[in-house]
Parts: sequence; C-alpha cells; structure tokens
Amino acid sequence: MKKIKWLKYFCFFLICTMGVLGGCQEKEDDESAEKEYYAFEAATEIKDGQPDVYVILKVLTSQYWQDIVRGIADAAEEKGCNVYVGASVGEGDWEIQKKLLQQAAAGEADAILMSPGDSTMLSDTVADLHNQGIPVVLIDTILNNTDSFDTCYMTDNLQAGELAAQEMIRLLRDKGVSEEEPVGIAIQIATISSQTVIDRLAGFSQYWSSNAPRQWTILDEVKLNDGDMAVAKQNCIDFLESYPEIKGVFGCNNSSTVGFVQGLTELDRKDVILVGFDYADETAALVGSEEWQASTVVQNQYNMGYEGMMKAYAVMNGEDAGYKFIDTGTKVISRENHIEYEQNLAGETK
Amino acid sequence: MKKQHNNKSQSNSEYLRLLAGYMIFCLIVLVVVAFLLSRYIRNNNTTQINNILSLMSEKVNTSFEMMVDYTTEAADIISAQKEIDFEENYEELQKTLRDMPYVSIGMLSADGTVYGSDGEKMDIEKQGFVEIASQLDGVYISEPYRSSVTAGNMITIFAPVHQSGRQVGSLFATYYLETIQNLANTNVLSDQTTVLLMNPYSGNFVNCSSDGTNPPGTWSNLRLIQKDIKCLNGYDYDVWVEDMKNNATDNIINFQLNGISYSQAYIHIKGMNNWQLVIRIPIAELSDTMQRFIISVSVCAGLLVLATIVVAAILYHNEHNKSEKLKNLSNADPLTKILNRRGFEGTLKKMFNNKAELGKSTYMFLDVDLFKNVNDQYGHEAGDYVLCAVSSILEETFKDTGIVGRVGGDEFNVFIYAPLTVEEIDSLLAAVRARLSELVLKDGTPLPISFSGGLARYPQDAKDLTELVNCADQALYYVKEHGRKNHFWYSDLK
Repeated sequence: MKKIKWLKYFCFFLICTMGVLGGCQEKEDDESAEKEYYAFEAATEIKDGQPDVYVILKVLTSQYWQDIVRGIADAAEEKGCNVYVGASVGEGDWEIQKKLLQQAAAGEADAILMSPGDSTMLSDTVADLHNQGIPVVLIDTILNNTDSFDTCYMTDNLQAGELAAQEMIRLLRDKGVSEEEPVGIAIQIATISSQTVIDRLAGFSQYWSSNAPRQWTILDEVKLNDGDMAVAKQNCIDFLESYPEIKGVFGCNNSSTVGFVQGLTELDRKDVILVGFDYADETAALVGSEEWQASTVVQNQYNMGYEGMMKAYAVMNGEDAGYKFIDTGTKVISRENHIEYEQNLAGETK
Repeated sequence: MKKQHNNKSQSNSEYLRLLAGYMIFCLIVLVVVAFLLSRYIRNNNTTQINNILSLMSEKVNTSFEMMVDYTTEAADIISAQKEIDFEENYEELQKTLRDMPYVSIGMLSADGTVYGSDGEKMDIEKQGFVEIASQLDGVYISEPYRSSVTAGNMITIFAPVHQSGRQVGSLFATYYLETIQNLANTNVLSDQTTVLLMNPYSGNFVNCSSDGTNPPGTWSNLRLIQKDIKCLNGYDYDVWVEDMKNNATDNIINFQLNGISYSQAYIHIKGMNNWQLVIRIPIAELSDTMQRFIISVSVCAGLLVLATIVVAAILYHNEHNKSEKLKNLSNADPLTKILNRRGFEGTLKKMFNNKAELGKSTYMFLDVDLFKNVNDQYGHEAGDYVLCAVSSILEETFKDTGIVGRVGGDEFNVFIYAPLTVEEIDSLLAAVRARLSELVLKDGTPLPISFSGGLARYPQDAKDLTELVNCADQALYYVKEHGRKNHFWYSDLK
C-alpha cells in the first residue's frame, strides 16, 4: 500500500512538472509569436483550499465575453472559488478548446464552465470529462448529440428573433405605416454556418409570418457579411438601392447591425427603421437618437456567467443539476429604455 | 520454309485482326447497352422514387395521426368522466409513460394550472401554451421548441378536455422530434430519408433527425438555400411552396441542392397551424445502386467476352495444329518424311507466285544410280534405308538454303532458294556424294551409293518454273547418258 501511495505521488509530480514545463513553453511561444490561444489565467484571487473552476470560452476580446467572465468571477467570489479562464483566439477553434479541456482535467478541475466553439466536435471530449465526474456547465452555446453536461445557460435565439420582429412591427405601427402599404424588410446575417444567427432569422420570420400585415413582407434575399463591417455597410447600401420598398432593416448579429447603422447614416435614410442585435457604440448612438427609429436586442451575458458559475458550485456540492437548458433571456433596448439600460450596465461594471 | 513461315504469320495476324474486331464490336455493344440501360434507369428511377415517396408519405401521415390519436383518445376518456379530477388523472396518466411513445404527458386546467413537472410548467409558460390551450378548437400541435428539462427539441400535442359540452382544460403530450423521423423509417432507404417540418409562410424548416452535424430540431430558412436550389422536373420551388400553402395534392418536386438530387413531398398536418411534414429522399441513392448494378453487369459481360476470346483462341490453336498436321500428312512422303511431289510442287508454286521476293536460285533433279539393283540385291528394306539416308543427307545439306522433296521412287528434287554460287553448290554436292559413298547397312555391309544430278539456275537459264524444271531435266538426261555418278549444269550444255 505504501508503495502504491509513493507511486501516486511520483505520478502527480511528473504530471505537474510536465504541466509547468508545458506552460512555460506556451508562454515563451506567446511572447515570441502571434498568440495561438489564451492560456489559463486566474480571474479571481487564488486561495488555498478553495475549489478550482476552469472556464473555457470561444474568445476573450469582445465586451460580450468580458461581461461573461465578470459574471463568473462575481459568483466565484461569492461562493469562494478559484477561477482560471482560457480561450481560443478564433471563435470556431475547437481543437484549442479541446486542448484546454485536457489541461483543465490534468489540473484536477473541480468544475468546468465552457462555451463550445463547435457544438459537434467537442461533444465526446466533454462527455468523457463529465462521465469522469467533473461537473460541466455550458454557457452561450449548447452541445449537440450529447446530454453529458449538467446545464446550459444560453439565449433562446428563436425567441430573441421573435422579439426583434415584434419590435419591428411595433416601430412600423408607431411610425404610422398603414397595413395596406407595401413594406419590405431587409435582413442581413454574418454567416450561414452560425446556428445562433439562423435561429434569430428563423424566429424573426416565424413571428413575422403570423403577426405582420400581409402587405408587410420580408425580402427573399438575405445578405451575408462574414462578420466584416465594411461588407455589412455595403450590403445595406445595395439593399436600399435595389429595393425601394424597404422600410425596415434587421441585423441578426453585431456586425450586421453595425453595418446597417453605418449604411443608413451614410445615406441619411432616417425613414428606415433599424432593429438589430447587441449594443455596440454605433448602435447605441442610433438607438438613443431622437431623429432615428432604432432598437436592438441584447442578451443577458453577465447572467449567463453568473448563473453558470452558481450552478457549477451547486453541482460541485452534490446538488441536482436540474434543467438541462436555461434561457437567460433577452430584452429590447429602444429609445424609451436605453438610459436605464446604460445605467444598469455602468452599475454592473462597478 | 521462310515462305511457309510468312504464310503462317499472315494467317495468325488475320486471326488477331478478327479477334480485335470481335472485341471492339463487343465493347461497342457493351457501351451502348450500358448507356441505354443507364438512361432507362435514370428515367425510371425518378418515377420509382416518386412512388416510394408517395407510399412513405402515406405511412408517415398515418403514423402521425396515430400519434395525435394517443392524445385525443386519452382526452376523450377523461372527458367521459362525470367528475374530472385533474390531479388524479395526471397521476394515472404518468403510469402510461412506459408503454407510450411520448416523453411526458400532463394536463392543463381552464384556470391555467399546469399538472406536470416543474420543467414542463416552465416550458408551457415560456412558450405561451396556457393561452393557446384555453381556447382549443380541436387538437393543437406546437411548433418545435427546446425543452428545459432535457435540452432536446420537442413538439407538444394538446387535446381539449370537455365536460358538459364546455372545455374545462386540456391534455398535453410531448414528443421528441426524432419520433417523427422514426415514423418514416423503413427497411428501404431508411437512413437516407429526411423528415422536415416546414412552414411555407415563414419559410422556416426544422429537421426531425440529426444530419451528422446538426441535431434534430435545428431550424433553418428557405431564404438561405433557395438560390442554391435547381429544379429538375420543371416544378419551380416557389410554386411548390405556394402549393404547400394551398395544400395542393400533387406535390412531388425533384430538385438539386449542393450537387445532390432530391425528391420531396409534403403532407398536411391537422392541428399544426401552417406547418407541413416534408419527406425528402435523395434520388442519387437509388441511382448509385442502379449504377453499381450497371457496372457489375458490364464487368460480368466484359469478362464473358474475354472468356469467349480465350476459348476461341484455344479452339483456333487446336484446330490450326490439327489442320497443319493433316496438311503435313498429305504433303509428306510417308517413308522419308520429307515433302512428296505434291508438297514440293505446291510449295514451289507458291514461291514462284511471288517472284518479286524470289532471288537467284537453283533447281536440281537427283536420281539414285542403279537403285533397282539395291532392291534386287539387298532387299526392299535396304532400298528403303538408302532412300531415307539420301533424304536425310540432302535435308541436312540444304537445311537453311533450300527445300528437298522425294518426287518418285528414287528421284529427288532440290530447290535452292539461297543465292549460292555454282562453286558453292558443287562443293555441297561433292560432300553429299562423299557421304553416300560411305553408306553402310545396319548389319555392317558397305553399300556405296552414287547419284546423277541435273541443275538449272533461275533466272539465268529460265524465266519461269516450267522452263526451269525442263532445263534441269535436260541436264540430268545428259548426265545419265554420259555414265551417271555425276551432276551437270544446264548452262554447260550450251
């Protein structure tokens, strides 16, 4: 028995040494060349005796992801957990995320919070870790073809799309557009490979087909911009030049919305209503303006992080995970409530 | 001999040409048959797929109706009760879960109370089902949504519960979308059939099974794929979608998307507002099967042709050998095995028929001197021995330069086609003479033999074969007249 115990210590030492060496190498590489990925870094004060929670995100650069990290860190401080955050550089780089998952397992993670960059390719790895007894909570994106995770906190994008359509109809009615007047709605998305934006488009179309007057139609042509704002702006200009019946535009994601904002501003088309997603500075400016009619749908990303961390802590402590899917909700930010929303944001940031 | 060889080669190449012609003919026939078969199958394939699609649609429709019937029958049973206790009925319904295809079953009372799990309550509230269920006019089937409890994609079927002609609540059952896909499963094309839920008004469609990348319940919209759709049967996709709105009955469309051809039809679903079930089968799947069949048949036919050619070659070879043997028998002298008169003259005629290839040559008549005496003195056996010896010595001597024939009892003819000089031939004949003078019978008795010969040259002495033979004959006559045991050239007679 004593021999086995010594063997265990030796193996542990070996793994730690390899991990440290590997980490050093990673750091050197990061400094010498372009960053391949964000290696795990502490997001809270690390204290001995506290459980270690590893967070693996798609990216870390945008405000959206930083809000999620803030939510996680706040919940971890409340519950007394150490949080390490790592991420890939490209949103779909699942191989890096797989590597981070393996590092988290080697680091004896007490729980993992993850936003999968690929809903299919990471299913097996996550399921393996979960089957080993590590609590796994997903945030922002769900995994396909497996239910080997505890809970997923994400936006119900179908409903978010419906909310956007509802807001578009409200704004058109507020503007006094007659139900008999032909209305065209232009839609722009980033890419057809993102289920998130497709769900928003589908939700929008679904609500529109059931609730909009017959004469108000969505254009058959949907333009793509691959996340490139310049393309998105040009798409907006092309739409307005080709379809004189356009009275509203809908951007299914941040780049599409900002592209519409830039295009409308350049052409000074204040007669066109904008409904978009996320709260980029340009979008916020248009939403707050008295001259424009614009609204945007925002997600509750801070809550995704916060609630996700709370759930991970609960599962760590033996509680039942409960529901597999929790919709963290969305809300429409319009001229009427944007000040309140910005104040809340400022409050969260503090 | 060379000529004989040439003739043999000529005959072989003729045979090869015949074989090649046969092969080309067979290949052309094969290609034409494969093309016609492929075209026939392609035309027939679409018809067959459309028939399968119609049958499958019928099956899915019936199965889906049965799924709805589970719910309505349970609601009818409850409606038949005098006093409806929702809580009690809910408990009873839970006992049916193990045997039925639904994931969960519950009830909703008119006041909005949900009898179900906490997750179901949350979903029913979130999806706005309470309001819908309170005003049911028959069965209602929800749009697909993600379940909070399982994170899987579901549909919920609601059926009204009545008491005294008044709706007092509803019964609901939830199903995984895969259940709908499973309705379409058959032994044929089961893994190639796709079942979708499609809404022609919004353009949305939801897959009921995983396509390997996307799980069941993944939403998409026609606007994102319509530009990539290429219609194949002149039935425009836009028109098909419009027909779907009007529930047109003849609704099979054939189209190509991302390089794959599909046949697709829709089925109206009662109770699911504006949504239709769409069954899709890739046409290529059946075509591939048939193409494989065509390739297999072609390979078999090709092998058959090859086997025929091999058998024909073997038969030809055997036949050729047999006829060669027969020919040899009729052209050969049975005693000495060299050419007889018929064989010798036939060969010679063929050579002279192609004079262009014939160079300077020599014709020789050769008679064994006083052969009759050998027969009389030593017997016929000895005579035969002498004839065989003369034949073999002549054959050996002119092996590569001429042909030898026995044209009578003791008469031999030699045609030397090689352009040998008079001196060379004289020398060869001297050697022959020397060998024959040393002939010994089997019992050791010496039997010296001599011969007389007459020679004429072509084209110096004669212009054709008849003349040449005549000249050689004159030369032999001269030798015989002047004491035999010698040979003489016709040219020396002049």
